[in-house]
Amino acid sequence: MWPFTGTAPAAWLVLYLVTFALHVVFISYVLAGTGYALVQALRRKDDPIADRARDLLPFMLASGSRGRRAAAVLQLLYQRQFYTANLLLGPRWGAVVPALIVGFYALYLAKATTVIRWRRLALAIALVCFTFVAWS
Amino acid sequence: MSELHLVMQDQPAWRAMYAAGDRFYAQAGVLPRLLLWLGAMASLFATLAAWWAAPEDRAASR
Repeated sequence: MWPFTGTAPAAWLVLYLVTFALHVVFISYVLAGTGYALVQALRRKDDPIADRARDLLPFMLASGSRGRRAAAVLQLLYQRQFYTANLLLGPRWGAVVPALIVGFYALYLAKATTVIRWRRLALAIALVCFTFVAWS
Repeated sequence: MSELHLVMQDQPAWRAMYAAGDRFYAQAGVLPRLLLWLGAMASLFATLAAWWAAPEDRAASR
């Protein structure tokens, strides 16, 4: 029965769905958690949930990079579409990786610093980077 | 990854994009799709954050 037919494309499809579901869980925490921590930092509110989110965000982003695996399976499933879209979007698509790196370090800065202005700035930069990745 | 997925699906637009050298898909479908994802992300974050938080932390966050 589909998609468990045992053929290679069906196996890839199952693998894609599993890796994508994992990716969505982690990356949702990162994007929405960054926004939530930024709002609470702007409000200067002492919020234990925002504190915990800020501590967990770099780990969640590292775990969320399992999206690479989902993308790897996706390119096997839809080779022509995936490669063509990548080439058409070109440098903008290539900018996703630097944006993720900048966002990753910004999350570490937001976690480590005790200066509220630096924390706000770092969270704002991270939010812009992750929104760019989600849009792209 | 919203725009990439839409470009993948819109095969008739490939030639025009390539000919024009466009790096932006800029179709109306991108924004609602992105907003839907952002809404789902907020709900998922709220669920996880509330699940992991102690009851007193939940009260303090209000």
